[in-house]
Amino acid sequence: MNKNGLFTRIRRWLRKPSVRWGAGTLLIAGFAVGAVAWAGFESFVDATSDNSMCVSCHEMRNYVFAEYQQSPHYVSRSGLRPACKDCHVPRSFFPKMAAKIRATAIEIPAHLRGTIDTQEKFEAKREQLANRVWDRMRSNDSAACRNCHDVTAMSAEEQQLRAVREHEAGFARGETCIDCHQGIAHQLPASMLEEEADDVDFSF
Amino acid sequence: MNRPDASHQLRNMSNLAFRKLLAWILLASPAVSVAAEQEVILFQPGQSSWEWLLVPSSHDGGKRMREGKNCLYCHDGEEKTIGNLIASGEKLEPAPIDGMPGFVQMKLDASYDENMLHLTLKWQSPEMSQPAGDESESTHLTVMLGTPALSVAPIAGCWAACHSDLPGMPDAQPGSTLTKYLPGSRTKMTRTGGGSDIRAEAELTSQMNEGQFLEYWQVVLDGGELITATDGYFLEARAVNEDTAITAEVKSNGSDHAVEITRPLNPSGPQRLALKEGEEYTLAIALHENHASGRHHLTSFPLRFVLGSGDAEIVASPAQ
Repeated sequence: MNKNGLFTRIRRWLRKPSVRWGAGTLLIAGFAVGAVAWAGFESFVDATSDNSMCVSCHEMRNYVFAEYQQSPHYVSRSGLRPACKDCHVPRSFFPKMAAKIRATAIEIPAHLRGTIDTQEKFEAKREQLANRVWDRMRSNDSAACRNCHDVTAMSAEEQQLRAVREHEAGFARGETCIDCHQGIAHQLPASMLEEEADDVDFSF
Repeated sequence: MNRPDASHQLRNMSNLAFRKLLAWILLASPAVSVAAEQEVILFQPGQSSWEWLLVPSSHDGGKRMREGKNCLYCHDGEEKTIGNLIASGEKLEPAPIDGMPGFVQMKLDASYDENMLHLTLKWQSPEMSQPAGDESESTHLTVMLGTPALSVAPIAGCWAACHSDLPGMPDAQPGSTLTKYLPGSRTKMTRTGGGSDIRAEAELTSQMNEGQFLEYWQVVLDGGELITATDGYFLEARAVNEDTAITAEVKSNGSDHAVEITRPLNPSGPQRLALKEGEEYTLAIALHENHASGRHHLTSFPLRFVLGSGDAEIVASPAQ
């Protein structure tokens, strides 16, 4: 059997009218199978985006998840608690698939290689990893933040003065949420904490 | 219902006309200027030092200070909240004084004539069940003045002279006798302050001649009675001038005080700052009450201060 023979037989099978099933039956069955397959796929994607999936790796559980549990995104006055996926997995289909492929192609091999399997290794790469996330958020105008935080719904009367002024100034400069709100769910890289680098200028 | 008679209506109309005329005269005449009382909130600063302000993990606003923004840019209206937080001992105050309020409201009247500035400060002493410290006099009222020649004056006000290594502050050495100093007076400033590494005398003299220091006026009261009125400056240390340029008049009624400080617009000596109409200065106020000393005082944020008119927090009006 050669390739052309196989393709020819498949093409014929696809074009051959059914003598046993009605067109409507086939159409409905096709939709049903498609819907089940789609639901299954979405469930699979959701399951792999769940916090429990994220913390199944000790790199996540011991470092970044522990930090997140100390942050205002875990316990706050309003009780809003975004999960890992709310910030790290896009909601729309294609960016979400891109994120899944990236995780599969980069993060799972890195886990198997033990790239950040100790606190020391993780701290050594923290800045690089953080910058990768921040760059992605800058490129999409902090879409993950805006899924929950709507600038037009912010009340200047209820915000602190500094927040009102900083938002106005930041947006006027063309900045996006993540340009200022870094380190709000996980610790900042050591190099960004000036005091640790001991380069604060106290002389002005 | 009785209708007003014609003579009554006429009297009402003449009264109204008189009031309108009076209002027109008051509003139209440039010679009549009434200084409005301006309210300032003084609050407990605790151990918030110059160094604390600039370390990012303790005070995120340090980066805005470096851009030249002053305290009010972020904290305008937060004085009471900050003061109460510190007074509770929750933040920046390891030894809160029982009964000491987080803040005090003060009213200011500022005016000037050809030669003199008149500053009247009114407030009510907080009632406390026990002394807040061991100062012999009950009240020290201090007003600080700076010019833009000292770049940190409009940004940080009193905090430019408050450092982590001063007595009562977190990095004080045992037995330290350091007094308030400016960062520019030290050869090197670190997160624990500038210590005793003072710049050469010639450099300090140059800084003084260029107005890079903070002047202060201090009125000491005890039980509402005026004890002393002195002036001085902060540069490499807190210095008291031998001959005071200020006078003070005190009116007290129980715990209510009104202190009028009078000072020449152009006093003598390089250690005093000249005041000119239209120029912007920095004014800040500190109040030690109920025998308190050291950091256990109430302070204002740095306030913009002008003679004449402007949108500054404190505007001195020309006297009538």
